[in-house]
Amino acid sequence: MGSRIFRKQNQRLADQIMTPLKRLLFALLFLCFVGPFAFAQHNPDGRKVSLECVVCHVSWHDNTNPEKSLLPKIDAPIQIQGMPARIPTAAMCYTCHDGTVMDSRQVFSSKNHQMPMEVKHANIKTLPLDKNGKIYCGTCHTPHSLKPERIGGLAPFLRVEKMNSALCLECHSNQAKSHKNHPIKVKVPANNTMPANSFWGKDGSMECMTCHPIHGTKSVLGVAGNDRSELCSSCHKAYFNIRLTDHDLTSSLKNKSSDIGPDFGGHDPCAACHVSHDGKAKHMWSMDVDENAGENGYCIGCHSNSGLGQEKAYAHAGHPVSKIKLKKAIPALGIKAGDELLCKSCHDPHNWEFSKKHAVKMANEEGTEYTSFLRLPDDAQGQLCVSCHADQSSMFNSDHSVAREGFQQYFRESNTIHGQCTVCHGAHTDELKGLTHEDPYTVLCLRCHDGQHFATSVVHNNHPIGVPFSSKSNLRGYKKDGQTLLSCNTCHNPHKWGKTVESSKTADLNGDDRNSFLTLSNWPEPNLCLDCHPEQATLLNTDHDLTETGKSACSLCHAPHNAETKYGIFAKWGDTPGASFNEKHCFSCHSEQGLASEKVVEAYAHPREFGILSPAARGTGDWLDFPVFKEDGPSKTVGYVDCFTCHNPHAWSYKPELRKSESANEEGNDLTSFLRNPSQLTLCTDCHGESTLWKYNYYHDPVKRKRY
Amino acid sequence: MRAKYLLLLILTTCFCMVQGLIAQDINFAAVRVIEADFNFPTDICGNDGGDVFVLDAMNDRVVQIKAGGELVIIKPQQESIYKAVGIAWINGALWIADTPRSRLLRMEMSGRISQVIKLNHQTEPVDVIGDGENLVITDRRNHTVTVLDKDFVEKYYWGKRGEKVGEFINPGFLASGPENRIIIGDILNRRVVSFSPSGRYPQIIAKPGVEKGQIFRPKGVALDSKNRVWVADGYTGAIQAFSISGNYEGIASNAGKSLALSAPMGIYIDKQDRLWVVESFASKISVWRIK
Repeated sequence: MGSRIFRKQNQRLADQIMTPLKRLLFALLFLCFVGPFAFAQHNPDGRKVSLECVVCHVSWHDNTNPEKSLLPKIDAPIQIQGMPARIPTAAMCYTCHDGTVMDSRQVFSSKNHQMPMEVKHANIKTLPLDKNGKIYCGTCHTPHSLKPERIGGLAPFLRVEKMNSALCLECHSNQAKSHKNHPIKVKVPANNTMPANSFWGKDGSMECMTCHPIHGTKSVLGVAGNDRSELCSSCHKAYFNIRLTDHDLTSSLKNKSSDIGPDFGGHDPCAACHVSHDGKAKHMWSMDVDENAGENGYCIGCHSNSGLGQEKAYAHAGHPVSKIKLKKAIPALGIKAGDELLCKSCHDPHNWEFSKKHAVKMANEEGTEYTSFLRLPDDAQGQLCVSCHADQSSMFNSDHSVAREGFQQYFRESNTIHGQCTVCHGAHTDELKGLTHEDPYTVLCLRCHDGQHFATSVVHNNHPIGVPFSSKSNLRGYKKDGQTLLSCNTCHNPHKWGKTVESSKTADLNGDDRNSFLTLSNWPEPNLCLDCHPEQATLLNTDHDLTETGKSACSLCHAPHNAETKYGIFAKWGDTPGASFNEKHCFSCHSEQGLASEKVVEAYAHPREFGILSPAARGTGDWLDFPVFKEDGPSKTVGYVDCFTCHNPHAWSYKPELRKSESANEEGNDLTSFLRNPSQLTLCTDCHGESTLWKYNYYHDPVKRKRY
Repeated sequence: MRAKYLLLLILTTCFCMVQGLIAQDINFAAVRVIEADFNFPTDICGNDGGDVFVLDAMNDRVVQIKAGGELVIIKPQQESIYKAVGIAWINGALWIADTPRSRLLRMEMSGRISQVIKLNHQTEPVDVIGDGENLVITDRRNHTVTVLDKDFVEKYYWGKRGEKVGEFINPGFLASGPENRIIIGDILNRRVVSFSPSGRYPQIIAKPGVEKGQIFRPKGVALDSKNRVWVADGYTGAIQAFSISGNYEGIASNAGKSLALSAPMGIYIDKQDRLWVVESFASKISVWRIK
């Protein structure tokens, strides 16, 4: 070979000055003394190659005598031109990468991607494999890759750039491209605690190699055994508030075993729910999920009767959490307009307590309204619930505030503590907390308003409840057998003391028709009463309309709670004359000291020893035409004559056209005067016939009585 | 006629040269193999007391093999020596070439790092030897050999990246030769060269190639009691001897076969002419007696 080069380079000179013998001598001299230093190397094709090539292409050394060769016999991963390729062997690489030229000892001591390696789960499309179909160094590396110095490019001699995880995805595309795997190419928190020499994408985003050292002693950075805590916490430190909570299954289920999920005896709190790759559902979920349940399926998967969290099983009761789209954004809960209401709208599964002031102290600690993975507490301000139900916030300064003595008394007695909303509402039980009664509102209200507690007692002579009613405003009640029955919530909205937030500020005030948690304002117009009793509106603007500040026309005579009588729920009349409750009630005004002292009824009593048949019993009309009474109220059959037998205090006249007084204090006559019926149709004539008028005058008109 | 004589002379000369290239086996007897959970150790040195020290840097430690054979782990207490390459016993102390961090470290037997010398020019020292009061280091980054004075100040350096004699492509392990000549494995130039202490008068000791008498990846160099320069070849695994003037002396053999060790790196020859070889890829130390 050397002689050929010699000839090419020195042909002209030799031809001119040398004899053949001299040529031979010169050639030998060149061979002996110059050749070893001047000879270049050649590749198997005979092409002259540079010294740099021979640095690795060891078999390209010229004139190598096989018998003297020191080249070790190797099991080369591939063959080139029928010869074992020596370069793509670890032994060759190590001759430089042992620290003397470059240092890749950590690669050679690596347990990852050690060659030769079975393909296994990898999906290798374009990269070369060795002669046995296995992964070898040359699968990823080639010393001939271009621009190895390019940052993040093809260094270190890669076939495909590692930036954007391109090289990794050549084989592991199925482990990086779905939501069942940890995402790549995403920004990570600036305060992450990943090792300083971690690999990041061009814009600081996360790549496969950020967590997975291609060559290293661990397949994943910072992972000892199956415990990924250190790695996960590098970026997700906030999630590690989960430790020791019920969602840290390594703590809460430490002594339990399950067919699903991880080894609860470990220390990796993430592993219970998340796997980094090949999850069974989105969020790298480690367990099977009912995909029909949507996002809530991840919660219900455990919080079901047979799930890991069966002690807190979701009963599909309480606050609805499906198919509800929120129209407005709720920044406090991180909810955007149009988001669907989900379990996680209220709960942050990684944070036992929102403010981190109430750190969990022990495993399986029972939650409160301040903890329980709530994003906001249900405190005295009901922060969590009010985030959405802002219109309910006016109750927080009212007598229904849990901060007030009434509730505190209840909490002391029951040795419990509740938030503003959960004291009544069970978010995951029935609508109202723990109530199975058919009228939960009554039961709930009477827990406090039972006469035994601080709250106003309403146990005596109340407006009837549990009865059907017809409401112009569709007031609420409770449902039973397809009917809406009257209950506390028909008249009361416990969330709103008055019409406005300001008017809700109370300090144990006694309510009136302007507030009192009424569903409709009852002052000055008695809208609430008239909503169900519209026929009584005839009272308004008559002499019986005694509306005054805070008291409507109805409230003068009627008290919906703690009334004097059960019938008619008459307000208490005090010490007034009269034999019956009707008389006592009427005479409380129609007496010398009463409001209606100008209309004192001096003669009125009808003998009560004789039973009188009602018109209904007599078959002459409806019982209400001329109601007769017994001691406890009206009788539809037999009773005695009382004030209301003839008078209807709600209507100035039985004639519709005369029902409105023309002026205040208008003097009545036989067409008005709150008479229930015209005199000729009275019940009286049925008994007394033609002597009716005489007897009426005798008993009702002292002047005429004297005449007789 | 003159031409014929000249031809005869040349043929005779060629015959002698070829003879010199014929492998001459030098028998080695295996003494022991030391496996101490090494993790790609790189270099080895010894002291006058018969103790031998192995730089097991990937384990962040030095392993002392006492004269009696006992192994002692020396863990650095203050400074990590992770990924260091060279170690030498110089003037009664261990010196470590802390390659990636451009430092020389003096380490006590307790593991305490008693001196840290920060090197200039982003030097990445591969190996270090003593030369009187001076320290000599090879630099894989700048392809030079640097001499530090007794105050550890750079005195002078020589070499640059290149193929000419006097230039280097990754100078590696060092040894001291007769007349204080500095023997250097010029790794990617595939040769072993000696220099005067001042860096002059280069003498090629081993030339490139993969036959016996040639070198492909010169790694550890050491001299035996006969002043033969032993050179470990990091690829072929051969251990070969050359005279200081560059004549091939032979190849280490055992049971009639040339040794082919596992990526030998640093070598050390003790006073009993036992050759200690760091078989880096196999993470072990093999000890041979030169017969």
